[in-house]
Amino acid sequence: MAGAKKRSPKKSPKKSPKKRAVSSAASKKVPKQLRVRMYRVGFGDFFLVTVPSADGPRHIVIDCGVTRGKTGKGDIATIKTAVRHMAKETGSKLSLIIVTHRHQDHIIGFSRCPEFSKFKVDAVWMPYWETEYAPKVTAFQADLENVALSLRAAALAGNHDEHTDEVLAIVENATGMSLTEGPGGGTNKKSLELLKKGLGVKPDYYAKGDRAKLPSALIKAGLKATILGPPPADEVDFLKLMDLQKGVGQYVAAATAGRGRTALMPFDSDFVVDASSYPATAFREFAPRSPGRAPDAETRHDRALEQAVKRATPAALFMAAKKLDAMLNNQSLVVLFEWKGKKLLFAGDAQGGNWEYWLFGAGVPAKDPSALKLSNEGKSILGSIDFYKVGHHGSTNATPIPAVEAMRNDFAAMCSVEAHTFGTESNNSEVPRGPLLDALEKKGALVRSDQIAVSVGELDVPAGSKVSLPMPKKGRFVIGSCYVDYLLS
Amino acid sequence: MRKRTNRENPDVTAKFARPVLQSNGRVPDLERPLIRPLKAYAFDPSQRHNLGNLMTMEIRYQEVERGPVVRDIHARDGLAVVDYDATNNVYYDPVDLDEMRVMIRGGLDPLESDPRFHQQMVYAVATDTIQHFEAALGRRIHWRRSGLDPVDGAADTENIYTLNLFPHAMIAANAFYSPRAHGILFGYFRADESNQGGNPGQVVYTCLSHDIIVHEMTHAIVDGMRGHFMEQTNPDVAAFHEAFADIVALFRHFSHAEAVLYAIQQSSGALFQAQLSPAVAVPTGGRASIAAQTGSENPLIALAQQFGQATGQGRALRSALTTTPNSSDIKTTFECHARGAILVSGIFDAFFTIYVERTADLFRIYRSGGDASAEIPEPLARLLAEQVSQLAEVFFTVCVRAIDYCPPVDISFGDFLRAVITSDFDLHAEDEAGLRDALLQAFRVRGIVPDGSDFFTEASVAWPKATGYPPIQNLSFGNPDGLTKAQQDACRRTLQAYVDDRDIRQRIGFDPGLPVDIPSFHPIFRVNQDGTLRTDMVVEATQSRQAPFDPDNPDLGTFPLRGGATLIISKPEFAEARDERNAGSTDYGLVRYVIAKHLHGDVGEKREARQRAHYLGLGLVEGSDPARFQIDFALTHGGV
Repeated sequence: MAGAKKRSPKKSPKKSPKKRAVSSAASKKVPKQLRVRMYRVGFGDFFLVTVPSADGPRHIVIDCGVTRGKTGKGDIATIKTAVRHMAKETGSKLSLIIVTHRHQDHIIGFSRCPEFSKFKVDAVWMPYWETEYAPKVTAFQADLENVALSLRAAALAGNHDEHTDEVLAIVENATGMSLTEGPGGGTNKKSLELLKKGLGVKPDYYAKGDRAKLPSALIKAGLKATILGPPPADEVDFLKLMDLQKGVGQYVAAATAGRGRTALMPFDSDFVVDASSYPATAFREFAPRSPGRAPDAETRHDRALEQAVKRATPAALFMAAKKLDAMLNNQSLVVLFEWKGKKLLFAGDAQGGNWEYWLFGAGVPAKDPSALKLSNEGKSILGSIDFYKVGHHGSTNATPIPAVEAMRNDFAAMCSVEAHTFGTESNNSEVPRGPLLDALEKKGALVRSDQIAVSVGELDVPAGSKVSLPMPKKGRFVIGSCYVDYLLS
Repeated sequence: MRKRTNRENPDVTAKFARPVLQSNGRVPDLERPLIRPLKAYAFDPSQRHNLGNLMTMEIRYQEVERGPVVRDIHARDGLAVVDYDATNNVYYDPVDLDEMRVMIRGGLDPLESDPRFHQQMVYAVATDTIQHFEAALGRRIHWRRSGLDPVDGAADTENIYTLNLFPHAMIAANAFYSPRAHGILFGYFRADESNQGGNPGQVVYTCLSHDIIVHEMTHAIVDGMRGHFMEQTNPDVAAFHEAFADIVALFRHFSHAEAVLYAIQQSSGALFQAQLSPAVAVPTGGRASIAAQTGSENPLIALAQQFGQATGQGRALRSALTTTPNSSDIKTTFECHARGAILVSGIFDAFFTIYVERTADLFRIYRSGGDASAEIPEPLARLLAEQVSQLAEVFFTVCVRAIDYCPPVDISFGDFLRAVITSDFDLHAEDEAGLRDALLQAFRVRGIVPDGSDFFTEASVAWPKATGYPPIQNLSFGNPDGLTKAQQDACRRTLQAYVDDRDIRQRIGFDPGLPVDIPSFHPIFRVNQDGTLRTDMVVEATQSRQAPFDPDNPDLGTFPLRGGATLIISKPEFAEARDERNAGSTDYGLVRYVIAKHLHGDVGEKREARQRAHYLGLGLVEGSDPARFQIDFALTHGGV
C-alpha cells in the first residue's frame, strides 16, 4: 500500500485550530481540475496527468521519450529539463507510469534522465508484449529487435539512397541504439530494465480484455481506466514476423554479398561482356517513344535499360522498416480514462491493426478490413471523448479516418510532435499530416507541442510552428515554461 | 572481356571458308521451319536426371537475334532476353540460338555454370507459355497496354511492346514481373547454409526454375489481358493474380509424361497425394538406408521445389492442395499467397475429383484381376497418364478462357467462378464431364460464393445472357491472324460509338456523367463442340472517377474508383445473317454477355466502401504516387 500515503498535518499545539483547516498542502494550490500536461520534448511523448484528490494531487506519467528522426531535428534536447521539472512538480512520487510501447520516442527518457531511478512509483503498466512470463512473447520481441539490427546492417551495407536515412531513423527508434548509447545518453534496453526491475514494483502487462488495476489512490480520486488495446497476441502476429524475417534476411544477404570481396559473381569472368555484345534491337523497348512512330531498334539504349532495371528493385528495406515500425506501434497500450464523467483517450502510437480491434469490434485482427463497420463500443467511446492524445505524433495511419468521423465535436486534443522529422510533404507522408490535423481541428481544439517556446533557465528553444492557442469548448489550455496544460473540471 | 574465338578471327575464317556453291535456281526453297527444339529443365536443377527433368521443348520458330531477342519489332507478343545484372552492373554473354553448334544439338545442353543456357531456357519456357495461352485463347496475346489514348506520349511509356526478360537481374531470393522495368526480373542467391534441402550453400538461379518462369510470365500475360487487375481494390485481387499464376504453372506439370508416370507409380494412381512412396521399399520394421528409400514430395502438385528448399523451408514453395477444405479460411486469410492458395486448391480439387471419376472404371478392371498390390502395371499407368494429361489441358483451357469472361475491374474469386462456369458453358452446353459440377462443389466447400447470384446452381452462377441489345453495326471481326491497323481503327470507332449511345449506356449500367474508355478489344476464334468455327469479340469498357478517402476532408486525398463491363459479342451465324432483318450482311455483332461492375447504385456504393476500407487498411491514404494502388510483385514475392 505504498501509494496510500496520507498527508496528515503534524499537529502542533502552537498552531491555531483555524489554520489547521488549511492543510500542509497550503504551499500549493489544491486544484479541483484534472490536468493533462504535454511537455515539449521534440518528436516523442511525455505526458503528465494529474488527478486531484482529497490527499493531494496524484500523478500519472504516460511515456517519456524522444527520437532524432530522419533529419536529426526530432530531438531538441529539452527532455532532461522537462523531466527535472516534472520531478520537482511531483516530488518524485508517481501513482502510475504507463509505457505504451518500446519505441525510443516513448521510453528513452527513463534511462537518459537519472531522476527516474529515484522515483517512488505505485504501479507500472506496459502492453502485454513486454511480458517476461510468456517465453514465446519474449522470443518474439527478441526476434523483432534482431530484424531491426539486420535492417540496420543492410541499410549501412547497401547503396545510400533516398530512403536510407529514414530506414536508419526507424531502426534507431526501434532499438534505441541498444548496443551503444546514442547522443544524449540512455538506451531502450536500459529503460526497459529500469521500468521492469528498477522501480521496486512489478509491472502489469495488459491487452484488450484485461481489467485494469488502478492503484487505490487513483481509484479514490475518482479515476477509472479501461484497456482498449493492444489486441491479444495472435498466431497471425507470429506469422507476420516470420515473413518479415525472411524478407529482410535475403536483403541483408544481398546487400552484404553485393559489395566487397565476398561479392557473389554468378559466372566466370569470361562470360562478362558489355552492352555492345548485344544487338541494338535488344534495347528497343527502352528507346524514347514518339506517338505514331515505330520503336527505334537502331540505337543501343543500354543506359535506359540499366536504369529501368535498377529502379525496379523495390525500396524493400524501406518497406520492411515501415512494417517493423507498424508492428511495434501496434503493440501500443491504449487506455481510456474516465474522471467525473469525462473521457480521455490515450492511444499511444496505435495504428490500423490495433484500432480495428476495438473500433470495429473485429474480434479477430485479421478479419476482412473491407467489411468493417464501427462497433457499438467504438461508436460510444469516440462519440463521447473529451480529450484525445493524437496517435503517433499526427501521422495519417495512426488515427483512422472512420475514427475521426465518429469523434464528437468539441473535444480537446494534444499532439506531441516536431515537424520535419519523419516523412516527406511532397508525397503526402509527412508527420504530422496537415490534412489530418485540419480534420481534427475542425471538430475540436488541437494544440501541438512544437507551438510552445521552451524557456527554462538558460535553455531557450523557440516555438517551431506559429499557431495560435485554440480555445476549447470545455476546459482551457495554459502554456508553461516547457509545456502546455489542459485543465478540465 | 571474353577472348575472341577462332570463329571470330578473320584469318582463321578466311582459311577455312567454304566456297559458295550455286544452286540451279529451280529447286524450291525449303519450307520455313515451324519448330525450334530447345533444351530446358522440366522442373529445376535439383531434380537432376529424374522425372524427365532434362527435356527438349518444341518452341515455335521465330527469327531471333543474339540474346535471344525476337527480331520482329512489330510482334505483339515479342520477347527480348537481356542478361543484365543490376547488382554487379555487368552484362553476360548472350546466346546465339541460330549458331550452328547450338541448333544442331537442339539447344545448348543444360549447364548451370553457363549463362547462355539460362538465357535459352528462359526464352524457351517463356515462349512455350505464350503458345499455350494463345492456343487456349484463340488469339495472339499482347503485353501491358495502359489503354489510354496512344497519341498522348506520356501514357505510351507505360505500354510494353516487347517483354524483356532479365535472367540474372539481381542478387535476391526473388523473381517478379515489373511493369516499370517492362519485363521480368529473375534473381539469384546463395542457398541457406543450414537448412538447404538438396542445395548446400550453392548458388540458386530462379531463372532455372520452370515453375517460376511460367508463374511470372502468367502475371505478364494476364496484365496484358486485363490491365486493371493490377489495381488492388479488394483483398481478392492480389490473391487472384498469385493463384492464377500458380494454377498455370501447376497444370504445365501434367504434360511432363515421365513425371506423371513416376507419380502414378509411386502413389498407386492417387496423384493428389502430397508425398510419394520411395522408389525402393523399406522393409517392415527397417529404416531407409539409401537415397532411393526416402520418399519425396509429389512433384506434380509441388511448386518450385528447389527454391523452397534453398530458402530454408524444407519443402516446395507452395502446393496445389494445402489445407482441408473449409469455409472459414476465406473469411480469415488475407495474405495474398495464403488466400490465393484457397482458389488454387479449389481448382485442383475439382480437377482431381474428375480424374478419379474418369479413371474409376480402369481401376475397377485392374482390381478385378485380383492382385491389388501397390505396383500398377505399365499399360494401366500409361492410360492413367493419358487421362490426366488430357484433363489438364481441358482445365487449363477453361481457366484461361475464363479470363475473357471476367469483368474488367475489381476481380473477386466469386467473379472468377462465374467466369469459369460461363466460359465452359459457352463452349460445351452439355457438361458430360461433370466439370462445372465439380468446380461448383469445390468452390462451395471453400466458401467461395459469387456475389449477386441467388442460387448455387450452374444456371444461376453463370453470367446471365444479355437480352435486348441492338446489334452493333459495321463491326469487322477480321481473321485469326489479327486485325489490321485499319480494321483496328474502324473497330474502335464503332465500339466507342456504340457505348456512347445514351440508351445503350443506360442498359449496360454506365454512369451517364462519366466518359467510357475502351482499354481493349479482341476478336477470338474458337472451335465449337461440333467442329465449326466460332468467332467472338471480347471488349473491355471502363469508367473511372476519383473518390475521396474522407468525404468530409477532401485534403486527405483521393483514390481512383473504376467501374465497367466486359462485352462478349459474337459474329452471327450464317443462318442468322441470311435473316431478312439483317439484309444478309454479316458485318455486325450480337451482344451476348454484358459482365458489369457498376459504379452507381447499391452495388457501386458497396464497392466504393469496400475499396476505401481496403486502401485505408493498407495504409494507402499516405503518399501521393498513383502507382501505390498497384500490386508491387517485388514486395509480395519478397515477403515484405
